[in-house]
Amino acid sequence: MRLSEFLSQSPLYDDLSGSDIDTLEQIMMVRDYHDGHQFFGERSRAESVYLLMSGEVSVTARGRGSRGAAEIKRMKPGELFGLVALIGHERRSASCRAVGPVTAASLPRSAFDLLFESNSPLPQHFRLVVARQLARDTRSLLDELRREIFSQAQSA
Amino acid sequence: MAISADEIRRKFPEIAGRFHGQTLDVLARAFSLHEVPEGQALIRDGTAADTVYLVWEGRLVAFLEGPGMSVELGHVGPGQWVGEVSMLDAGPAVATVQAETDAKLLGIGRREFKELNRDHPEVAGVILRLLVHLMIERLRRADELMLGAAADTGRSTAADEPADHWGVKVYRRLMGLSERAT
Repeated sequence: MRLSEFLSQSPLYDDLSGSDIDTLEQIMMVRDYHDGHQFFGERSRAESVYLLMSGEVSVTARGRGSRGAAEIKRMKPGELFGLVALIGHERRSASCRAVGPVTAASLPRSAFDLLFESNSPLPQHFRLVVARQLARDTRSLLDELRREIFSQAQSA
Repeated sequence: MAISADEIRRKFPEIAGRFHGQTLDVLARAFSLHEVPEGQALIRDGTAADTVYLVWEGRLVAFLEGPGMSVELGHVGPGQWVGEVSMLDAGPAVATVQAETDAKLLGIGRREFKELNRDHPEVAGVILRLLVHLMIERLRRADELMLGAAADTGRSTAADEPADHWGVKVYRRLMGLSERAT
């Protein structure tokens, strides 16, 4: 599937106009990845952000509470991954690996920075997309913590 | 009743400084003022929520509501934001937020924010960048807390801190709450 077709059909991107989508198609690179492909590892430099178009990506990190290294999130099609370190200009705090065959579009740091900081129409929509993804990431972690807090409280 | 750009400038110069020219007037007009009497809830955990608030004055406390119990998370006061997750992802509120004192907050709903982003992208862009950097900072610090908790002499960190479970600390951090009322 072409990126433009994917973005047009995904409700997560309904703020993007036709010309926004055309521009993203020109600057993002779509690739197929095999099962087990590591997009990035913990402590690596953040060079790109990825948009998952099909398949699943497992996000794992060391030291999640009492459980040691563990999967912290399973990304689904339409989600962006790799945002936190890219925007924070820090090294990756988690690893991302393909679970089964995956198709994803990547956006290099230079293009991302340009989109994120400028005030023209595409960036204004793109920033909303980025903010929503971070809100979903935050909620996912909050949901996990909520389960942990109440299960601890009930067993105490 | 509304808040003027000058009042925002006087009260929160750091926030006002991010806006140039007349854009602070646009922001002031986009905000609506919410007054919450002491003891009243602004947001209820798990219910529909669509507004991000900037605390103007007063103090609020946040709770997690569970089956037959509630867990106090922390406090929020002037200059702090609440409600950004639900405003952005359209999900339910992630905590109950209740006024500890009479409180005033500036709020902007999802629909109004979308209109602001369409009509005044330079204004909405400043707010979005601010919220994005806030969420990034909170996610990074939450990661550090979780790593620190797990590395703490190798013990199970979830087991022996019932008064302030590590999960509560991380939750508090992710919501940008203070541990103590100030």
